[in-house]
Amino acid sequence: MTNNLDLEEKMKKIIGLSRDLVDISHEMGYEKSDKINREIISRIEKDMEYYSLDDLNKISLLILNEDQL
Amino acid sequence: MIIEKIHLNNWRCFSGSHEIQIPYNVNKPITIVLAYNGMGKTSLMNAFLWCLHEMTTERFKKKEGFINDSVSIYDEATDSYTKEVSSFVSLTIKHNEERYLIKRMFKVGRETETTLEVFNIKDDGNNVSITTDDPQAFVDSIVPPSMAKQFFFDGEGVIKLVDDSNSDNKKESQLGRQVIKNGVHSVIGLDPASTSLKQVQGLIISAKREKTKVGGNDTGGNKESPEKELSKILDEINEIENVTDGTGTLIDENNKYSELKTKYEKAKQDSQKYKNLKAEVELKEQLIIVKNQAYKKFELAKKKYLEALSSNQIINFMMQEEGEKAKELFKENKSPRYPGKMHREIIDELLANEECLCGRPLKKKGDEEAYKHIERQMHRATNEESSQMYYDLKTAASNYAHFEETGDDDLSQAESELAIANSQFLLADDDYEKRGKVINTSKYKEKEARNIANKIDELEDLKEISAKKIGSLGAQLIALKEKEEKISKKISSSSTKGDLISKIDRKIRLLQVIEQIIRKEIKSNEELARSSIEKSVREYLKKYFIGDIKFYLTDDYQLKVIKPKSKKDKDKDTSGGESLLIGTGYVASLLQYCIGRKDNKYDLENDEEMWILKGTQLPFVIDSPFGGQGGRYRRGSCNIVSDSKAQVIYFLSETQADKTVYEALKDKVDKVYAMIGYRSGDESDETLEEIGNKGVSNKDDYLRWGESSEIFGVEYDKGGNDRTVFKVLNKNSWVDI
Repeated sequence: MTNNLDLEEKMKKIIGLSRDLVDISHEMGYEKSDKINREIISRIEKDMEYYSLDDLNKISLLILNEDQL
Repeated sequence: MIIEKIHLNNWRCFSGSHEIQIPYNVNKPITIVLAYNGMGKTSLMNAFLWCLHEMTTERFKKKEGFINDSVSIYDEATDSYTKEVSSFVSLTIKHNEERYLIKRMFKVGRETETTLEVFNIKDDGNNVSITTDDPQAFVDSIVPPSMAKQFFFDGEGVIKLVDDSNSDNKKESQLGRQVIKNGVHSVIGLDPASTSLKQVQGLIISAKREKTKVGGNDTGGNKESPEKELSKILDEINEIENVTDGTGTLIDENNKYSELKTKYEKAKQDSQKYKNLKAEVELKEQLIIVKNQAYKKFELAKKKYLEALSSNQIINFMMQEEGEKAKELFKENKSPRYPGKMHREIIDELLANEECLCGRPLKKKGDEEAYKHIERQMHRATNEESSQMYYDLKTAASNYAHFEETGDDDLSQAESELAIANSQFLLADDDYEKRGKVINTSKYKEKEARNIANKIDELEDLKEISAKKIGSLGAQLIALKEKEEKISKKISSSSTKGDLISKIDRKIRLLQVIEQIIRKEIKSNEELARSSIEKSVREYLKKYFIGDIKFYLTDDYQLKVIKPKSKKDKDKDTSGGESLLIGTGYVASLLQYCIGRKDNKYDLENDEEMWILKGTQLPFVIDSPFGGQGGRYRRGSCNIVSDSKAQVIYFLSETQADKTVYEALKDKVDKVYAMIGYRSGDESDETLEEIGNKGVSNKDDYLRWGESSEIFGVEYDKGGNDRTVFKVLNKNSWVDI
């Protein structure tokens, strides 16, 4: 079972991943969307192995709770 | 983006090639272009807008004016150009530490064409064409078109950023708000985030589709599990197999058919038996013929036998009797030479007897010859002949004895033939009797066999119908079995599929989390931008303008001025000058905010709480920024703009570039370009010097700037008609004027 510390680390990693995706969109803004999509998918798949479904559900809940605070 | 240089070539009123350097540093961020009205400053401002987005302000839309008259050979009569000519505007810009050359060209001739090229200017000065199919998209990514409208406009446009509820045209106001919102989103860096959000949302949909395709039931469809589907198929297979024997034959029909087939086979055997018996009967019939023939033969042989028996007895008797008579005669007639009449009669009698003795018709020829011979001998009639006759008679007797022997043989043979024929007859007769009964039975069997054969014919038809039925059931069975195999495989590979589905699930969830994060960050950044800009505007107004103006930034990024409620306060209603000032403060705050965000990187170590999106630095290129503002508002606007540290290019007429503006900006201006010369349509023959000498007020206007900044004069070719020569004069020569 993933502990909270791990979970925070993982969440931080996903935030980093999300920023990378925005970066890709920014830097490839003048490229065709297919090309950007491919780049994004390849970036996401690189990180996929780090997270279990359970982790992702918990992270999602954490973000939701933060929003409500 | 920082604009470093603009290059115009035969574009609109600028005849020939002109380069204008636009220096920028944070301490002196302002460049001023001074010109009297009608000299071409709005053309110059439009050159920026056209080069970047192929846009112009309303009055400059006509393409006929894009090429300077000095080169354009436009024939109004034919509404066409007589030769191929072109004009271009290029901008040298700095963006994200890279330098680019953006060049837009307008070409006329056989066809009218506008092209855009973008080059990356390397440190060694070489231009490298950027690798993109869509250079406009590249430019748009640097300067969002929605923002270009806000940053390259006439000064009065700034008012549109402020809603003081004075707008008569609500629709236009609404449209303006949307443009502003889009523009602000772009410059504060929300565009890439919004694009990412859309892409991530698209990927979520794709992943969900992928899951459905693989066999997951995420879409909420009513698809059964493979196990359930398999069990259903197995039931269907059993159902079909229950009515068939598994090889595709229907059991009921097959049983009926088998039963009849057995009967048929038996009947067929019986029929064969009958056929065999029939053959036997035919044989028997033949035997009857044979029997009859044998019987006839028997009768004949019997007759022959009886005849032979009778002849034998007669001959024996006659031979005995006549032999004695011949002996007597021989004795009596010692001289056979004269047999006398009696002899002759005896001979005749003998001859007659001889005929009888033969027991058969004499062979004509031989017998006649013998008779004749005897007769001839008789004619010779001697004793010798008589004696000879005796011997002949003896020979005849001997011959008869031989005949007797052969006559016995004939008899024996006839007897034997009779016996054989008789036995054959009896046998055939017996067989006929015996087999007759079987033949009768066989005849019945044959009838039965025929009936069965007819039934079998009917069954064959039935079988054909069944075969068709079976064919369809068989096809169903095959299809079901194939399906069964497929599903079984599916089930057996369900662990692999399960892994795949689980992977897709994780992907979907990860994308959803990313979507959550980006949404949250967009929201946070918007809130941050809104509050920062609002705060900055308040500070600017407090610092550079003493007044009590209440406002807030709407969700559409428009500054909403709250009108005073009391009658006393209503008198203090915001004027156009105030709105323009607030608008300028808003633009400056926005630019300042973006500059502050431009260099921010996503540093997780230092920025865990807030994800700051990259802002886009843009220059503020504005024509006649002060509109109808009074002195104090102008001063405020100038201070606010220069305080923002953003690159500013002001296009000022002599009336706008007054002492107040000069005092406010003098320390912030790096370069001042003065466009002097003939106004558009001026028919004067005066030289530049003459104009300079004549216009003292002009000199005053420009000299003021010359004291604090380097001034470049712009010399127009005389003659007007937009035939312009852009000539740079040095400061000293200008001052001397």
